[in-house]
Amino acid sequence: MTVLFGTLGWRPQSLMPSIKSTEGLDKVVFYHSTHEKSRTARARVLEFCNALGVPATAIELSDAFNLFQIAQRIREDIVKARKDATTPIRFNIAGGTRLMSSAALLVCILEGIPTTYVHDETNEEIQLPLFRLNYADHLSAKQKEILAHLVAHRERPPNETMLAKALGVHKSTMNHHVKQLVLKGVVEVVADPKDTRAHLIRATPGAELLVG
Amino acid sequence: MSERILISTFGFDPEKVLRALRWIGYDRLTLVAGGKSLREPGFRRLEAAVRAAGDSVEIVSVDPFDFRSCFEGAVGAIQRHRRAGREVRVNVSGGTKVLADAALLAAFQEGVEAWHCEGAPVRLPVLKGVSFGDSLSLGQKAVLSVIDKPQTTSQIVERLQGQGHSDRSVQAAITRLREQGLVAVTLRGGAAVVSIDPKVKWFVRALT
Repeated sequence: MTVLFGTLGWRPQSLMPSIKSTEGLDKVVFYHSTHEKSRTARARVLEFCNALGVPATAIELSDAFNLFQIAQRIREDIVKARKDATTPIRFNIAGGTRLMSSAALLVCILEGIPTTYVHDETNEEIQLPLFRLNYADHLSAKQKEILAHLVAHRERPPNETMLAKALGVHKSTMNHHVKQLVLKGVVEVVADPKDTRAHLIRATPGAELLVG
Repeated sequence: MSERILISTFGFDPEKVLRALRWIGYDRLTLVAGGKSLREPGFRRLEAAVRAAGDSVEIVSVDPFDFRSCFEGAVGAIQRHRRAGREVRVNVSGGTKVLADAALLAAFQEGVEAWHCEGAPVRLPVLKGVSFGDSLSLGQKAVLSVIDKPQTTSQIVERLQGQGHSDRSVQAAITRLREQGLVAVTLRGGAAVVSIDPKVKWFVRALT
């Protein structure tokens, strides 16, 4: 039994092929904008799911142009769907704004979810070549722990000494981890506005998606 | 400091690229775009702006509705510039959704910085220097390199034993590849046959 996620724009045809092609479809969850045409498309998708007897949840996004907000929302729903059941997940990223589609693809890459899009003209469903693996596994357990700490303390970023103390590692070990995370582009070292000689360690925007 | 290349997807709106040029440091610009986009006023405006700075625009022409064409165009541009020792950043704001998504996947595949400049600039959480291929062990890469057509596990083991891979390590590599969704294992006449899904074969090839 599969849960199908999707992004929906103005054309129900962008999502319908995946609803038809998914074997053992258990549930459909899709995201759409507040635009009237998108709401009309939502009604048609819901009607179709209702006719098939498939439960469907339509989620209206208040801002269809806020990439990280959309990605966070999708990721939370995916994590919840995975916790609630052991059912496989598929994602159709064809519909919606470019940012909705990119946000969905981003989550699919990070979570290793089988992804498809539907060709605009032929309505053919095309499978995207994504790995079924957790992208964050490219970080070591310690690196993930550090990043999670920095994300949780985004409002008050620590310096390297404070970070080492908080996570119970030696300062030189922390220095090594921070350098690795900076090289990977998920952490940045910035000047402390209160003390120009000191530096703070900050998670880059979107790092939440790697450790959420 | 190495030369900085901004690879940007492009459709018809020059603003999305101009915003990226303002926000993301660059020395040279490469556009990945469909042929039609390059005949429109938006491209001429963009080209004029770049020329005004004494630069030229490199074009990578793709079919903006074909994911594979877009992905291969973007990956090719990234690899070419990196081989030349340049620092590459990718802006995925312009063009069709397919083009933007393919360029985003290419950035993840190659481990280069990716940005969205639709409104405010947003840097996407790509791990720099980490490619999808890094997820594969030597054994997994070896298996992928020999299954150009469906083969039984014993045939694969036989071919790879000569390269120093043990039976056990090859079996483990096949299992892991199956879990990752890169190969399918089916039973034919009592033998396990390993194959790459033809639809994603082009992508799998790019990993090895």
